[in-house]
Amino acid sequence: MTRIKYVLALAATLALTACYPPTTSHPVGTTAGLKPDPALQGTWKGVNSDGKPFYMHFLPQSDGTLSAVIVESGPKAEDWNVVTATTTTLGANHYMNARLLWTNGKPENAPAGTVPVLYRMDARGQLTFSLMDEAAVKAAIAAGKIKGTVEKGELGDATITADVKTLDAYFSTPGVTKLFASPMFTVRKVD
Amino acid sequence: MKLAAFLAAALAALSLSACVAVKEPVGTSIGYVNDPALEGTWRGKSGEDKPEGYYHVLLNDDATMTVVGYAPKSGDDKASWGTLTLTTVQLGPNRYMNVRETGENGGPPQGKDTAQNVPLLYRIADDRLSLFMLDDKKVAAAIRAGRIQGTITPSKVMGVTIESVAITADGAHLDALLKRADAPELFSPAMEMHR
Repeated sequence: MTRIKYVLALAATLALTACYPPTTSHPVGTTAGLKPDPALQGTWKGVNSDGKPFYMHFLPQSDGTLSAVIVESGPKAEDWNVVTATTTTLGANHYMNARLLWTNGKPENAPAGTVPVLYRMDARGQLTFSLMDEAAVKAAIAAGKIKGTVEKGELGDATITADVKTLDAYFSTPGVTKLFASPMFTVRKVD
Repeated sequence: MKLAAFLAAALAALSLSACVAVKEPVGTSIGYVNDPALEGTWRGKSGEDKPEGYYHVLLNDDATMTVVGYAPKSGDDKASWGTLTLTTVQLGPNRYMNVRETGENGGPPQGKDTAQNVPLLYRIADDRLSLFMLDDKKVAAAIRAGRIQGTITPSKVMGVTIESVAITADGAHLDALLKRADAPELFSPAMEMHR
């Protein structure tokens, strides 16, 4: 089990629990193409589980990735994080392949692979992020619905190891959203 | 002396020839205490044609502050981000910060001296933060008048004579000068920010 720091916002979706969230050994969406979603670019604002406001700045990079700079704000703000991500659309679903790079200016020792994050923008301009539910992913792997590995122990990390074609076919199905937990947080575009 | 990149807005306002070099940061004679009034998010721009940037100030436990800055896309300039380290000190009635650039778009500052500190005078009123930088002409006049030890080095750039101004006084003498009530006269407005 890989323990990582408690951080905020999108980084929190990668870190809030004691275990690292389910990962994929290949990014989701390589067969369809990984392009930075222009709708994400700019500045978003939300409130984290501590009640502290935070900002997310999404910046497109020349290599086709997005950098997300996430900063707590207000009194007693402590943390800032940098996440690198690719984005793709499979069927009706928008995915981010995220990887936590830094916390407070220090490199994170994240495990290999990327964390698939399902994101949705609604008509009110709200953006929500959902992580894969660990128990649901482990059950899917155990049932042979998708190829993957699960570390020993109740808190063992789950990794989906399916090849890119199988992975994308699986993540294109409408039912795959059942593998994702409720949105971890919601942000609004401010700039 | 070019300063920064990532905070295109803020640091453009502090950049280029108008920057006065100092031998030591301001406040070394009494030490630094983080000013909680700076904590949080500030917004501001250096030019009317620039979008406002975000400047997130976080207080660290070691009497330093980290600024995480974000400059939105502007014309042909891509969106960018970076980090600064600040220390703050109050000398007499005046509040100062030492600014040091520490990161740019995920890497070290490009082509800059990360050890370089830029002293700024600042004022906060009604959720507005006003930054002032040492004015090279005013400091040059103070050096010529013997008010502070320093050097004035003329050079010609494309036929135009410019003066590079540096304060060479040690920290104690610099602090003594900047403690005076009239010390703000050595500074010029650099940037306005708001909550």
